[in-house]
Amino acid sequence: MKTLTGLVALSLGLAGCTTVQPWQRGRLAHECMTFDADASRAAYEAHWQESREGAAGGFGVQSGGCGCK
Amino acid sequence: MASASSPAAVAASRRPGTRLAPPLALVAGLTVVAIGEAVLLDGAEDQPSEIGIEFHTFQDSRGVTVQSPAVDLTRDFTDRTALRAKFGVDAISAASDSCVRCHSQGVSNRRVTLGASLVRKLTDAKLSLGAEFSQENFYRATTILTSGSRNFNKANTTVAGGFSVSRNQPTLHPRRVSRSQTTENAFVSLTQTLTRSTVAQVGYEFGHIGGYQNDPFLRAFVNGELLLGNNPDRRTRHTFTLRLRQALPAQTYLEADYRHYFDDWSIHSNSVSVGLSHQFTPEFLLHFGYRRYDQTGAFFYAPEYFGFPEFFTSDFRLEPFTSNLYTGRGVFTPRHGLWFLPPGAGITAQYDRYSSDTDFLAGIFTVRLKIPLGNRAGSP
Amino acid sequence: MLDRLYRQRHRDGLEVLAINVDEERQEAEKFLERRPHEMPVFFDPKGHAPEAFQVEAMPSSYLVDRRGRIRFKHVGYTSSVGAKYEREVDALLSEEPP
Repeated sequence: MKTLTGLVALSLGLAGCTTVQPWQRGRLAHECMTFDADASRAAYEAHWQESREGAAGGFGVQSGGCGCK
Repeated sequence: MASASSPAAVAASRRPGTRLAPPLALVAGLTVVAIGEAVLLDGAEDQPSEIGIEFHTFQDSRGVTVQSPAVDLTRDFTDRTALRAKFGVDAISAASDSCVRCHSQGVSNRRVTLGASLVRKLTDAKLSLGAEFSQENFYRATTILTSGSRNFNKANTTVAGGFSVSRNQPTLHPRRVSRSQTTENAFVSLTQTLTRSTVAQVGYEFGHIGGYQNDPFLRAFVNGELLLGNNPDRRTRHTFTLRLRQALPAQTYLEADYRHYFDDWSIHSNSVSVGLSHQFTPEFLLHFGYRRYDQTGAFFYAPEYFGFPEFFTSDFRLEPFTSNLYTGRGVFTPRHGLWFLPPGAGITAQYDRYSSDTDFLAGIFTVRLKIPLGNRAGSP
Repeated sequence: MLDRLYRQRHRDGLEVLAINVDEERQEAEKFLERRPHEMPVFFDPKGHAPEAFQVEAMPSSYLVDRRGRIRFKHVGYTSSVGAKYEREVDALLSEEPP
């Protein structure tokens, strides 16, 4: 519950930040500034990590999983 | 190169139909005023059509080797509609200790995955609807997924969400009796541009698994006997993420991710990863990353069981452990194209080294080739 | 695409003003070196022009007719925009001068 409250507060705080104009977003356009720019790589990393760890998800919609152990 | 003309020359008009200030109107006949940035004009298409071909090799100290070729395709049909499709094959040598008890020579397995999604871009929003199917010797999964995102505040704020339902069918071994399992997942995230060089994201994901969740291969020691494990048939998961991307001077970029996970099997985990990328030239990028992961064990996990336990397992994913992951990646995108491939084609090579305090080691090597498709008109 | 339009239609009265808003001029010059062009390029690192035009996304372009009125606006860029541009430029060039 505390974690959820903290995240909600953080979200509201983040939403009130400075407005960066479209023409000021040059540095933000680099692929390293995008979350999961390479969706295929991110999906494969999530797949093999979930086949070896107890935790899962957090970075997008899940697929059906596998029997690979 | 000329310096910027006076703001007055372009200040007057803002909307179609309005008249420009006289100096520009007198100078110009028909005028096109184009405003852009070099980095965005260089391959400026949003969602370019492309095909990706990759090959992964996974090898771990439990004796498992997985070789996975995969192909994914993104194709624009119109300015606003794109199709994404993927196909992959895992050639799994299931030679782990769970298999070699009976199969001393090891055994092989093959997993095929197929997925497709349609992406529709609206003015400030994006919608996606897709399906995925995977099949292997003892497991089948069919998934429907949907997601959407909306931009606000001149794209400084993005709210995204998604939902997926999966119908899975594990098969017992060696009896070959099928069981069923259903998973539902939903996520929401908020991405916020903080400064001209900083972006942050917070996210939450909920997951629920109902149905058969025992491992058909792993057997636990109960009163000295090897028995097929018995896990609870319901599991509810919660995942919170906090992510940051920071552009540093000299074409260097910092990334930091934190994930906190917990479920009703009493597993709590924290995952912290940091990475640094440097663009040496417009063609070559190098990245190094480190990830630290820790988890507590499931409430019913034990190395060995005695008496009459309701739940028991030897699933190594449910025991407490800590792990470290080191990643190195190079991306090469030559200006004039790669070999016989068109400009925009690039190759990525990545190596991951994973180790845990349970003496588990894994090495993963990935090579990915990206090939742009269709007419790329270059800059506008 | 704009440079090609400029070379083809300049004699008919088309002017192209390409405004580069990169904060680091070096990046823009490196990019322009790789792309020989004839159209004039202006540098506006402080962003006066996009502010004046209330640019919503990058890149943006505006077609201004002989009377000084903005007649068409293009936001973003996709490969299908080129043909549309040519049609719009030809339509405006065919209008009677004031």
